[in-house]
Amino acid sequence: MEASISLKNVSKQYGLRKALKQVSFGVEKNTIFCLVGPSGAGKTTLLNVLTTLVRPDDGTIYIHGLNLKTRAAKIRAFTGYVPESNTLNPVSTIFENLRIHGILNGLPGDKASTRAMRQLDRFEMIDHAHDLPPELSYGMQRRALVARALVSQPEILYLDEPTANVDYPTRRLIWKVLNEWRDRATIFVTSRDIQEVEQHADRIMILADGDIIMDGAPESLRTDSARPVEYMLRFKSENVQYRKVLESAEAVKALEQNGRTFTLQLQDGYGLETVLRNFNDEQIEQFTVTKPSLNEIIMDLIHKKLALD
Amino acid sequence: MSKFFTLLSNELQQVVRHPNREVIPVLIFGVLSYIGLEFGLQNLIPTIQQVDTTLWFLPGLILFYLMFVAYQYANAKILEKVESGYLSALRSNAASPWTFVFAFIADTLIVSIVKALIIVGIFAILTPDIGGFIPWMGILGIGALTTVFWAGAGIVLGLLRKEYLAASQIFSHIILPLLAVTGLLIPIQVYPGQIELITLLIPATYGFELSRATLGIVEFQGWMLAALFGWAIAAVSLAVYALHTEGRR
Repeated sequence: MEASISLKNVSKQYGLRKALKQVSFGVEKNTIFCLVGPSGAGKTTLLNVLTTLVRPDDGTIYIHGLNLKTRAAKIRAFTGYVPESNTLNPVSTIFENLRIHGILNGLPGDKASTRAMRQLDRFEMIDHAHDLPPELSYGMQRRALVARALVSQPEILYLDEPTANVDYPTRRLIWKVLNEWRDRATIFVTSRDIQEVEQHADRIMILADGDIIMDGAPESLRTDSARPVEYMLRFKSENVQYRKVLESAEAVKALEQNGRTFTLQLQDGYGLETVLRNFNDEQIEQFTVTKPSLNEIIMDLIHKKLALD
Repeated sequence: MSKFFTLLSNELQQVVRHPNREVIPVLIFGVLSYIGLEFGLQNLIPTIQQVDTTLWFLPGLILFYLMFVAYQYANAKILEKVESGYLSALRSNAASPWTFVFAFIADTLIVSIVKALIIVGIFAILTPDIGGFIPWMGILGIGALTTVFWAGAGIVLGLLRKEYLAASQIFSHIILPLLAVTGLLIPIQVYPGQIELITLLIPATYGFELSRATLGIVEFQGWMLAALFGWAIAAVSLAVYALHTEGRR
């Protein structure tokens, strides 16, 4: 697949703190790419670099084949940016905020007006078109920010935590629009909400302390994870024999007991049925498979990385 | 050009939406200045170098007002944009820093000149002779160049030192005392040679001297107009550079 965004050895330092450390990766066209990481990981710095608001200390960046260093203005014309904070002009109406954004990106006035109204309609904000941003709720302001970025119909859309702290209807609406927009644009999102990232992303990259620590499709992150699948086995009654049977089973790699409940990890290549065949249905009350959540996998990776540093 | 005019109208709409907030202080300034000059200073010193005292001081007063208003207005508006994050939203668009700076300065220029016109209008109504319509158009032209310089300075300072206090401290502790040696109160020719040289290094000097020259009070010197023009271009260029490198310094 063709690369939309390509970074090689990009670094950025603020004082003594290295916000980005020789970061290299590419993003394919028409995908939803999610950048995940804890606070201070370097996500916003990376977005500021990609949106030309901050100049990197080192490295090269190509956006649709154009060098970011030399063609910044041209690149800005086909990219949209939704920052983490509210950057609407507080003294202009929502409609004016959207319209001026279109004009500054090269649209004629009437076209900018039409598109602004269309985006407001898409985000169910027509009734608020002539309100000032401070008069709106936080969720409505977030909708307006995403709508503003879409007025110029960008080929690449950067969003910094677009759904952080917003109400459920706004969250659902923003993701609905982003999923619709995927056919037209490359969508680069930062988020701390792993659940929504897992649901919508084509690819997830984990950034911690300015370094990429993992990169791949959500499923491949699970597969590559070192965190094992766990099985919970609950018996109808307590019996010391059960533990002995489980301990002696070839398939069982690790075992924890809590009363009549056992948590097991199995050797590679074995399934739970190899354990269950040692017991009859009368003895077992319940069994479940607990796959590690993506959140747990990511937290493991981040903790491991921070411990190494 | 449509980007420039859209930005400019967007900037001006604040004034259009709240005209009283801008006009009432100007009326107060105009009336108080008139009372001070006409009934205070004029009674104490009727003429300076055979020129009516009000006429002597009025161009300087208008220029000083334009300096102060332009510097403060441009500085406050850019700081508002920095603080609200709106500036970074503007910078992430495709328009060039020149477009932004021209629009911000044009906004400051229009607002400042309209305010100056109101003050001159008060004097024109209440004083029998303030020197004629055409010379005052010349003074406002010089005022416009002065405004461009100080608006540029306000933007540069706002981008370099992102705090309101810095701008007011620089004005009250550096710019204000400098006015004593710029010809606002005293013609620069009165100073000894070395001091006169210092006065010529201060952009405000040219505005004061040229405005009096326009009224025929002192001799007109073309190089001073060129110098004022040069200062204005330098300030605008510096503002563009500061905006262009914002977030990259």
